[in-house]
Amino acid sequence: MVNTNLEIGVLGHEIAPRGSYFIALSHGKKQKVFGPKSPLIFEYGFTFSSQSFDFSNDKTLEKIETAEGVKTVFANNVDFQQVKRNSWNLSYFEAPIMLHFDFSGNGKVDQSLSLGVGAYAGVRIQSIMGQVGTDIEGQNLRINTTNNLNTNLFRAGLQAQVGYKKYKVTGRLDATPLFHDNAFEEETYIGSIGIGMCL
Amino acid sequence: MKKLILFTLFLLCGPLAYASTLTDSLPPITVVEDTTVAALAEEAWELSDKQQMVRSSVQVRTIIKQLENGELSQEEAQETIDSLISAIYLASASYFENYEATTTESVVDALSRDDELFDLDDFVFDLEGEQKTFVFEWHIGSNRLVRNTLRDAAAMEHVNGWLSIENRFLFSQKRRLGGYASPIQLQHGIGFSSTVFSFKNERTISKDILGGTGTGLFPIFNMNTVWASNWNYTHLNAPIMLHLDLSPKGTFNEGLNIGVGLEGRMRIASSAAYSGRDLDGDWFTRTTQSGFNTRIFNYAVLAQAGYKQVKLTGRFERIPLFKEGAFEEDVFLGSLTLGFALN
Repeated sequence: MVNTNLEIGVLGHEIAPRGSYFIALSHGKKQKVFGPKSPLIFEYGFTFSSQSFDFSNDKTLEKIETAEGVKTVFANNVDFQQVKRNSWNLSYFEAPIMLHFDFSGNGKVDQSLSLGVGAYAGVRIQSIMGQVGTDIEGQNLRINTTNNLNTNLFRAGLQAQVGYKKYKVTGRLDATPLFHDNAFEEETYIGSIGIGMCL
Repeated sequence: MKKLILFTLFLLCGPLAYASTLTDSLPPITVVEDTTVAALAEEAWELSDKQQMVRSSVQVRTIIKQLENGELSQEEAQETIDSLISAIYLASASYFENYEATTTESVVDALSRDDELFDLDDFVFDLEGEQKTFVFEWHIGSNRLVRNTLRDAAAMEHVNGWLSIENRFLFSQKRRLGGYASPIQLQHGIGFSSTVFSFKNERTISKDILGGTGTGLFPIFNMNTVWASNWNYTHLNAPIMLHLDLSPKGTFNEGLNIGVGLEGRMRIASSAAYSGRDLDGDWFTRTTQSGFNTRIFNYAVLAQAGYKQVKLTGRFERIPLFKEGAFEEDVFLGSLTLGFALN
């Protein structure tokens, strides 16, 4: 979670990197642009992605009514005495496109070094907050909340990829803010880096 | 009756005289005395015609064996066999004259006569198999929070009665006590039950996070509209019931039945969920998994009235649903369900 200066934002500071991950499953097609000998490849397809953020403290995101309207805030968790897991899961359906420079041989792809840049656009399909812990009497308690928390329904961003044969490292950065205008205390963008494999 | 008269006549007249009047083709019959075979032949007169035929034919082999071993002379053996042939002839005449085709009733009658020529073990085995049966039951109906007096608890003012449903599945065995014809049946088994309470007035069940310990039905905050608010309570059940079942002998769930029993149960899940529109009209769902200060173990009394496979069952727990002092009053779980039994 970064701000407009690409620095770790307010929300980003509350996130434990160890429990925060990005999983995506893509199906696409790669097509040589200028004939079989060309190193330029255009890739398109669709992706199901899930981004999970593990909050490092007992606070949780919730909507509250303020004088300026309904806002999303990072609030204390009143239901729990102790929180063992506190996560936020966002799932999207996306359509990515990428242009690759692939050093594979004539008529081949993903057989050598490749570099790519591209973009993606998607729609949010789910937003769930999940908390597990013990209540004020020490009994087990689990709360799952499904709510958009003022996040934007659509997202778009840029991505870059470097790969060798079937293994790829991909970096992504959203170009659209995570929350609605003025819904959170600062503009927040999701960035991620992941390792993947092509089949 | 004919059979009895003929048999009595036969005993009175004696085998020799009677046989000599029947046919000229048979040799004259003489009673062989002072031999083991003769004693067996005499004993055979006390048996039924059918038994006598079977037994006499077996004795022929014995006589031949005794002849070959030198225990009987040729004349003695021939005379004895002639006598047995006459006995078989007379018995068969009587048997076929009175023969009736075999029916289920006659088989049962024959069993009750303790006829040693029947293999009784086969019949006994079949009847024992109908003394017990596996029964699967599904019950669905309405549940309520009630006081010990069976009146509705105060909390029911926040409960949608017709949307609060109990759903039970039971895998059980029914066993007739006191034989296959007994109307008393014992049923025991294990099952799962889902009890759903639907709340109204925009309330949900929650522990009192502000006032300390305790559970209540509290208003839902930060929502524009609450569309549904439910509490789902799932438990494992182990019922045992005694039924008076008027089903035909050897059958189950084929007639009127009434039963009473007890059921132990253990809570295995408890979750409250509500959904609706949040402060700015977006979809909102919250599911809370918690025991809400309910007891893990409890027991209930059961009463059931049924006709054939349809059962009406009342269930009333005898220990308060919530731990002592955790709820505004002692409430008990009660339900009335309609069920279907498959066996």
